[in-house]
Amino acid sequence: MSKNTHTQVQEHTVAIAGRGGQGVVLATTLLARAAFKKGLYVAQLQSYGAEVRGGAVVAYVVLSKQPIENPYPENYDLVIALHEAGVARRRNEILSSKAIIADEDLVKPIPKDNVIQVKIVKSGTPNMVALGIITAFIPAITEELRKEISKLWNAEENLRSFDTGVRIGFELLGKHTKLKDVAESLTKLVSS
Amino acid sequence: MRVEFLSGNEAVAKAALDSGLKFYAGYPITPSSEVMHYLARELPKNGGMFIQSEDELAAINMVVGAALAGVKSMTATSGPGFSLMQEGLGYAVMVEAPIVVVNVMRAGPGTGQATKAAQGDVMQARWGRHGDQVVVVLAPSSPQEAYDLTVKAFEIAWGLRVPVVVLSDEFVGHGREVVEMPDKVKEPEPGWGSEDYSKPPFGSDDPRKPPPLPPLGEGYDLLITGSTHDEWGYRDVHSFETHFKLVKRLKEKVLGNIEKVFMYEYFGDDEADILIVAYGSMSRPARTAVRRLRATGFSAGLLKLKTLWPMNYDVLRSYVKDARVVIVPELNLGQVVYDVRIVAGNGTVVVPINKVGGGVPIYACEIVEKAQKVWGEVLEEALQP
Repeated sequence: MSKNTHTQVQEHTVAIAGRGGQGVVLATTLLARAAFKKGLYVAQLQSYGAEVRGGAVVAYVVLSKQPIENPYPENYDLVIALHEAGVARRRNEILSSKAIIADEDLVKPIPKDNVIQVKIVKSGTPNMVALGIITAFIPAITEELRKEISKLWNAEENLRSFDTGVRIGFELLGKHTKLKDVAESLTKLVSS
Repeated sequence: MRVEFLSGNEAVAKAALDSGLKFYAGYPITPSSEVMHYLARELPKNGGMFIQSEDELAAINMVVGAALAGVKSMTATSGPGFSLMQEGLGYAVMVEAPIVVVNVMRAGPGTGQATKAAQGDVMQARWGRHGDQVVVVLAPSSPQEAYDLTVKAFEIAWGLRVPVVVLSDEFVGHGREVVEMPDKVKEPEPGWGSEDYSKPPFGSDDPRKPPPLPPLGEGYDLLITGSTHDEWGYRDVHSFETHFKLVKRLKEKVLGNIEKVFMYEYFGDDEADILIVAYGSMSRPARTAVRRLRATGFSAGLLKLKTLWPMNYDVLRSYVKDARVVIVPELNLGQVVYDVRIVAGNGTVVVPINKVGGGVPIYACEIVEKAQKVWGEVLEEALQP
């Protein structure tokens, strides 16, 4: 019989919400694999419909230095919202998250001070731009992610979109102090 | 040790290969198809045979045939396909074919929600066949356990000559996590090591010791029938004695080995006031709930069931008897909660938490809230004059 202590479990979650066809699941899988290669424990889960395109998709990655206790977080540290469909599907979880970066064209305005709406989908391949933005919060995995993206078909265009995302991510981090806490907790996972 | 980033479905397929899988037949169905995708690619490379059958009925019967020929065999499916496989599973019980059937649960009944997780097939996995019969049902909670329990499934199936159902779900099957695997798995042996084929293949003096299975087509005189048969396989569809002896032995074969078959884990306080009984994917938010409850001063524990059938009621009772409140979170309308009710005494309040559909899990906060609310009510009642 185990007498475990009440140790705090440090698990952080990054989510992408969107619409079938935007590459949401692929993006989170690449993120998880890159983080795994940097020595983290990861859990990547998703919810999607039966259709190939269209329909709500929400996928996320739980990151930790220890084995993941619970891959079903009630909310997320960082959400990239690419389409209203995904946001509507997991509204409670997403709106109670720490920071939300949403597309300004495809996601309805969310009047909350932790929500930032920018052009994501129109800046390039949506899932790659999203990955780039996330990477600005965890710079230590950039190289591993670039390696993963390089294995995809159309790697050049994907990498271009990824780099655009990284630039958008750093710009946002520079402008919005609210994002700094999130970036700090995520960065700490890999740097130390 | 190999460490890889795998989905639960890939982990199942890898575990099967590591256990010596040489035959797979299946019909693709969400959310189990990745087991098939992986084996379609890898099984032939490992000297095995892969068949995409015309339907699930064919798949299960091919798998039974392969097992009787002495080959490690498996199929994977989900709800609708699992329903079709019940007849074949019942046949496998009767002819004592060591097969592994993976059911990656989705929301049902009918075609339900193909891409959404559920835990609604527990009772079906236990009781889906006609006649008296016992199969073994194991429920993994993560890709890691999907690997570990599939290895175990082959061990039990071949050790006891009984079908084993690996009852996974969409969260476990499609979720990707880090999985640690040993470099080599010991291939399970028939009859837990006994290879004395001079004994009758369908009878044993000690029902707990299944007779070894002589491989079909290797020169042994072997009669195999799904009808009632004596210990040498001769059909006897008239006598009470033959039938009663057979079905009793098939049941005792599994129940008599319950300590080998029944697996569980406990986490938390000894003799906890608040006990959570959970299994599969939902045992993970349950663990977080227990940690949060303990951090706020509650005495709490999690009993995680890895084996859902046969149920070891003695083990279950030993944990439930000390608890005032038992919470049973399930992604269905309440199935394992009945087991808890069977063993719970009058002083124990059993509370189910049920949610199913939409791919929505039961969150740790929901379990904590329910536990605190019910605990409050129990205290209030205790204080009434």
